[in-house]
Amino acid sequence: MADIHSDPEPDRNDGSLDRGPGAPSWVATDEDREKDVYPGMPAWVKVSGVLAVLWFTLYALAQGGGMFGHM
Amino acid sequence: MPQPIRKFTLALHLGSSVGWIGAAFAYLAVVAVLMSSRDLTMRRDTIGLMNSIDWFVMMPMAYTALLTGVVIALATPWGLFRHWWVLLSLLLTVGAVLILTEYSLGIRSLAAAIAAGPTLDQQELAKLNRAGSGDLVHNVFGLGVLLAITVLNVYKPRGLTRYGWNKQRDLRRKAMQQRSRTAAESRA
Repeated sequence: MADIHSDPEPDRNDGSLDRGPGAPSWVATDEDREKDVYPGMPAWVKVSGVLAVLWFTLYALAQGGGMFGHM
Repeated sequence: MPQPIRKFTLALHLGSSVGWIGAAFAYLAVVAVLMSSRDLTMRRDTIGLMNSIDWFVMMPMAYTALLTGVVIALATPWGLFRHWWVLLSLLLTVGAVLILTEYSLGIRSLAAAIAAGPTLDQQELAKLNRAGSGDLVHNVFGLGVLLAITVLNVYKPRGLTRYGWNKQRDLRRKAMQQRSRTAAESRA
């Protein structure tokens, strides 16, 4: 039976940037490293950024609309 | 940072973050009581309870989560501005903490007015009667932000900022220079 406490990606919270055997999948690939050009902002960041701005705008609108009894 | 201290800080960070989310869910139940009750005494007591949760649970948890998150980021190769997921988590957390602080100050002033005397003036009474829907909006929006931060921290999506990319490139260059120096020394 597998040990439920074992971490499939050892110590993933130490931010290790090593891509050796068993390295976490979120660090840059060797292919990325060979290129010497900044790859730019990933699409997921753009989408998340727009969603975050929208979320806080909606919140501000709700606040401005007198929905906050304590403010 | 030595590993035992880093692990302890991480435990503190996880505990406070989970505590913040848990308190936000509990707050939802209290707000539901506030919204469903027309009894003035019940509404006054509920505001007092919300004030206590805000200042004795949510605020300490929120500031601890922010502080320990910054410490962990700075003490590990993740950094604070190198990875998009860390930067986005930081911005969302700072936004959530600022809004929570502003909101808690509002709740505190209303709770203080309620505690000051058995009777409220017209303005305070109007505030108490309005309370409920605004608190629900605040709570739901806050929970949305906290859950988004949780997803970012669990999945750690790929992507370096320009600063992080430059830093990583510098580290690689230094490592390569070190390797070639060592190789040259061993040949000589």
